[in-house]
Amino acid sequence: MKLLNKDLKKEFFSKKIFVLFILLMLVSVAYAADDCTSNQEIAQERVQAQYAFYEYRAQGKIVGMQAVIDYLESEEIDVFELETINEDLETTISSAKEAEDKQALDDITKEGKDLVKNFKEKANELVDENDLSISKVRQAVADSLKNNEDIEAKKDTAVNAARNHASNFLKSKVCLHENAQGKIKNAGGDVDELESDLNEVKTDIDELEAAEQEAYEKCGSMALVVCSEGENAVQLRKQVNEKLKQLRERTRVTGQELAVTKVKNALLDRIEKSEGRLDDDELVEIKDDVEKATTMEEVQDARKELNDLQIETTKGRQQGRDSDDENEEDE
Amino acid sequence: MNKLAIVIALLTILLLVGCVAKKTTDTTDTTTNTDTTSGDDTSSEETDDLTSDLTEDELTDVDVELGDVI
Repeated sequence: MKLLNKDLKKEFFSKKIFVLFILLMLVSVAYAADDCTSNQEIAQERVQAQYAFYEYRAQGKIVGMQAVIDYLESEEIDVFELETINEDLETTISSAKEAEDKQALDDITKEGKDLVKNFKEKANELVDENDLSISKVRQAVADSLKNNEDIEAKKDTAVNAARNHASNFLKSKVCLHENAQGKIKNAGGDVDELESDLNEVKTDIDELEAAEQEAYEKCGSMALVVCSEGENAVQLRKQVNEKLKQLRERTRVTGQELAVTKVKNALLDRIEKSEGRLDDDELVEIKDDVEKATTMEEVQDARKELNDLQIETTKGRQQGRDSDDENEEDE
Repeated sequence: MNKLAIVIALLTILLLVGCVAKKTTDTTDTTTNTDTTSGDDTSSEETDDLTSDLTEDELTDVDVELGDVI
């Protein structure tokens, strides 16, 4: 009976600790939820999404190039140069995977674009020189890409990465704006208009996400920027970027105005406390400067004047005391 | 106390330590520097920090165009 009681106590104690642990986990999750995805994480995610698109596009070109090579080879044409270009393009995919930032990926994309251009020029030359039908070669390329599961899978990966990146980018921006508005509000600022503008941006973001989904479905293998069905999504993206830019500027101005007011009030308070202890005429001048100041630079200038006056007064008093001491010693 | 309870207790302590460490880091990040030599407590850093996270980056297209092969 005693043993059973002990076991029950043990079990009860374990359960209590387990419940406590779960509660703490929930608190931690709620605590962490305040954090927005960092700009660095978003930038990294963007690089990954761009790489996914590069891999998809380059792989498609490699398959298409191989179809051209196979066609020309079947006509007993020397394709050594074309094969070299194809291999070089494949190498760029590995380099793109290692790329650490957007610039590095953009450079590799340019390299890839040049290789495809060179291939096209060389292939067209060979087709012309050998009196071949360009439409037949193009058909061979189209056939090679038709129902290519590997390319389709790479496209799905790229599109999902792009959509996730866009969604996380916008969520992060909204989160950062909400945090900034919260900070301004806590510091005593008025954020009613900013909140209303952010709500408008949120509605635009929902619209953009729906438009992007539709565009990716309709544009197939075409990039949104060159596909007429993607025009709406591209326009909405521009609109969201512009609204976020304007909101950012307005938020900054509100934050700066609040900062100026807070520093001005603190300075005026210091001036009031310094009355009678510092030169009154100079204090009146500084007070006047503070009251007229509208920018942080002007407030900081006035603050420097006050600091200098305080230092000079302290020095003067110290010198006076030293001089008194010397006089006393002489006497 | 059985082993499971000890493990759970240790995890809980680790979690708490993690939360406290994070809180300390966050607080340090936003602490203002005040000029103590002149009794100046009017630093603007506290309020400048309100909007410092709002960077100027834009949502850009991640798709790339490589052209036609023929």
